[in-house]
Amino acid sequence: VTRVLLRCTTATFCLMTAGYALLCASPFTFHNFVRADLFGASTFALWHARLYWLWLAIAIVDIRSSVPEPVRYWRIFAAVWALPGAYLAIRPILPVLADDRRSIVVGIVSFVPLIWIAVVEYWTRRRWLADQRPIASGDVDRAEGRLLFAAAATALFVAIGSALLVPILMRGQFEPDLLTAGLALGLTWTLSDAAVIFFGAFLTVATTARLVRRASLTSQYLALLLVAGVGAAVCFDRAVAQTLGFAGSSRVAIDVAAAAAIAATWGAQQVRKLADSGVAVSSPIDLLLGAAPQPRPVRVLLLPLGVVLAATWAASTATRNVDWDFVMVNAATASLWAAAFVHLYRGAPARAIRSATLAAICLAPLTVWLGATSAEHARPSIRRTLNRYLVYNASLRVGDSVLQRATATATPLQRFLREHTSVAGPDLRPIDLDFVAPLPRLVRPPHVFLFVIDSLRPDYLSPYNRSVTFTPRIAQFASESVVFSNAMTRYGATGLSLPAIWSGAVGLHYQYLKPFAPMNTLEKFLTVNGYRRVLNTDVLMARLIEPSAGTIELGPGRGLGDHDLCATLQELESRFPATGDGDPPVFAYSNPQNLHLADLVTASVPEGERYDGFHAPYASRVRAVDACFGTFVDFLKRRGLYDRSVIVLTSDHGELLGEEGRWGHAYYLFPQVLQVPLIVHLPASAPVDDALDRGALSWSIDIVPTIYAAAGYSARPANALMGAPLIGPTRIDTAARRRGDYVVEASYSAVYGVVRKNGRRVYIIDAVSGSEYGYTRRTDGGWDAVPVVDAIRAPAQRILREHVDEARRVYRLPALK
Amino acid sequence: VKRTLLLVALLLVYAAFAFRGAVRGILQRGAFDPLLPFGRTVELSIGDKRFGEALPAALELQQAYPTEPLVAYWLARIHHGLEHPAAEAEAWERYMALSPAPAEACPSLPLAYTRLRRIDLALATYERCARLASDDADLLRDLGTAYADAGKASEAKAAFDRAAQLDPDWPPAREGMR
Repeated sequence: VTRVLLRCTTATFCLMTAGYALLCASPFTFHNFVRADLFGASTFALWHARLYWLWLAIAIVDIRSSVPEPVRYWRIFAAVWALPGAYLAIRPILPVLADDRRSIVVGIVSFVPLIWIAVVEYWTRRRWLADQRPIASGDVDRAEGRLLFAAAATALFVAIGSALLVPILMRGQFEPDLLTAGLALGLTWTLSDAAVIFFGAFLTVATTARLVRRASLTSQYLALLLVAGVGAAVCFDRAVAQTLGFAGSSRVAIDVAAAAAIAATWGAQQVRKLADSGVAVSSPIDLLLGAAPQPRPVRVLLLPLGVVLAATWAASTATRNVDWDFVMVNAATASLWAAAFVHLYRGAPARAIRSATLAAICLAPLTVWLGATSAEHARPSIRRTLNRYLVYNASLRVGDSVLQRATATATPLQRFLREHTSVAGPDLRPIDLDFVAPLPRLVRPPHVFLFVIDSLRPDYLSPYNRSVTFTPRIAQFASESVVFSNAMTRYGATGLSLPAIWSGAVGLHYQYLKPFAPMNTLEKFLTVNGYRRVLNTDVLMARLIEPSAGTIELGPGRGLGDHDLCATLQELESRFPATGDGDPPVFAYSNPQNLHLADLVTASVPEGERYDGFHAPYASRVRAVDACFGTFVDFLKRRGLYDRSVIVLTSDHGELLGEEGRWGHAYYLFPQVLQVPLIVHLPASAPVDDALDRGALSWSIDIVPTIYAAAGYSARPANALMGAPLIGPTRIDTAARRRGDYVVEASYSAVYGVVRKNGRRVYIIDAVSGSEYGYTRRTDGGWDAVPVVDAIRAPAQRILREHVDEARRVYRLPALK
Repeated sequence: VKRTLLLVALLLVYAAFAFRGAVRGILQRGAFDPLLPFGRTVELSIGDKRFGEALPAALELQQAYPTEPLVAYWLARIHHGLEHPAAEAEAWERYMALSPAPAEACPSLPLAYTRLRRIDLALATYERCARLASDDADLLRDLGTAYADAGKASEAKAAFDRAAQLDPDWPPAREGMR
């Protein structure tokens, strides 16, 4: 037990360091997990250099207990790994990691100690391994029998476990598709998927063992370990590396390092355990998975399975709010499957199975699966029910993704979109974007207040949803403003959405073009008209705007995740610049994070507040935002500035609050992420007429040209990627706006969408996993998932290609061939 | 040996299943793909508005893939850019016949007929379009306008009425009703 604990501690530190570094290396997780300080990430980074020495001490004890002699093994290890410790003591690395190549290197290096220890353990027991009697042919048959039994039992266990867990996880949910027939359907598919996967694993291991059975046991074992390593690499790649957006040689290196660490650690542990216990081993499969069966009471066999079930439930519950694309829960489920498989193998009876029976058993699940897939194609209602079911069943989700997606080859369009995502290269140059060129100075520009409340959903505001009763101040503000009832963002997260708002244009999928100033149309407007800037500055804003003399920084030193609307507005009121006749106009900006999911995980609802039909912690925060915003509007009115100001209340993206089991916004691109509120209070002088089409699709890239128009400019987009004013004489023809086809993008991954028919139809393609989604908006504003048929797919994919071509044309990049 | 061969055979069956995407790709080699170099040349030329350059390549593609709707779409765009309304209308008609999403030809096809001064065909096509996408307020508005232009006030009213039902806040529909 002590040895296991020591190894677990050693491995945990290495894996946490690697995990932290890899989360930093991906722009998506760096912004949404690390900078948002989820799971105490910053605390770990701050303490890492000191914890390193503790880890080194434990690792040395671990090696010494495992390999007492000769002492040079632990001494060399200690000497080599003390060097990084000394470096870290002077310059701690983790706190300064960012989304760049250095994080990838740190991540890969963090796996090395585990591989090192495993190699030492294996090396020192090589003689024991060489002394073992090679497997006899009768033993091979029996070992295969055990393996097949374990595969079948695990598939059955996964199905039974799902039957028990799904009703618990969907308790209290209204799921008309998941009555008795729906649950039975989901269960059948779970069993069929699991059986195909486990019998596939059985055939891989059994065939490898057969092919190498004439070699020495050491070689047989290494061959199986290699197979396990390849399997681990594929799983890690599909579950983690691909989802985090790694590509090319970095992705391969990460996969290989992670898989080598996992397989080597497991393999060495097994060899050590068997060698130290003195058990004679003849099968390489036993070496990999466990010793020959011992008679055990049923409860001893069942208890660990109960623990696996409980762990699956815990993983599903604990990660649901912070997971992205179900990565964590899928990885946990796959690991628990593996644990169940190993446990069941160890308890499996050693009986030979006849070849005909073996063939029938292996082909049966494949036949069932192919039949089930055909039924799915013939009846779309089956897939709809399964899509509802897999929200609650991680096992089916894993099985489905393995069988439907992971084995599929990326289509040319997927590769095309991936290539356009996070574009890089020497050709990247900023371009000039202008709504008015040259831009003259206005005589009396209005004050401008731009509040981009991160993750604010329109359906939690009363101007957009009559059921909302907790935003009276915003309702009042809306009654004095223009409410664009059909607003969306072009980007599914802050990373690219904020630059698009400031430039008033769709940009390249790149964070960030430098210098940003030639493209920053809002900054040009502010500079020409001598605005006094009062704003939150953070890492992101520092990349977007140039330093300006006289800027009043709100909440100086705060990170992006620390901006709170109430504190910001209080500070803004207290430090508000003079606004006399001779004073420059004021521009205030904030991107508060009150509603960001990272901040919402720990949120609670104050006593006495009720939000039936809404996500209560989120709604409670919206109520607080409403009150603070209303107080600030009162302040502007008291100062006599309200009617001389453009005040924009919007968001950079929406949020998923459990729809279809999904939470957050960063990785996804679903309708709830795309829809944003857009309420614009205009000065009395602004050009607004009765024909203004508030229901036409409007985009967050239209905000800046609308500010231009409100100030009196005749703003016009200079290319197809730029927004257009929503008001004034140069506003885009409303019919064209309603008829337009628009491409939307996730900020941190190769997920793209096409919005059509005035925002009523949305097609989404995840170019990482190959999934497609179709949605139609109902007249009540809700969304229905629809099957993606050729009539939806073909035009949408053409629009995507044309958009990518246009983006590369405008930004002067070579076309993708 | 027999057992090993059996296991290898079963594994190959599973492998063929696991890599069915790649297998399908090999089997479908030679099928139309817009991202193949020839198709990309046409698509990029259209994007660059180099319609004259795109036309010969698109015609060649049409010869090679006569049932491919995207090629018909490209030809319609090219002929539109070259101001050949008759050829454009013909290409759109072919697109309508071939495409899984025939309503995508609307309103370009009736507009091409309008440019050819075939108001009767334009009106008939608007009616086809409205039938193809009966929940599309834009197309119903187009149909209403076409009826109004043809002096069919009651039909125009019915079309605008339906458009307004689908999208009550829509100023153009209200405008049409007026």
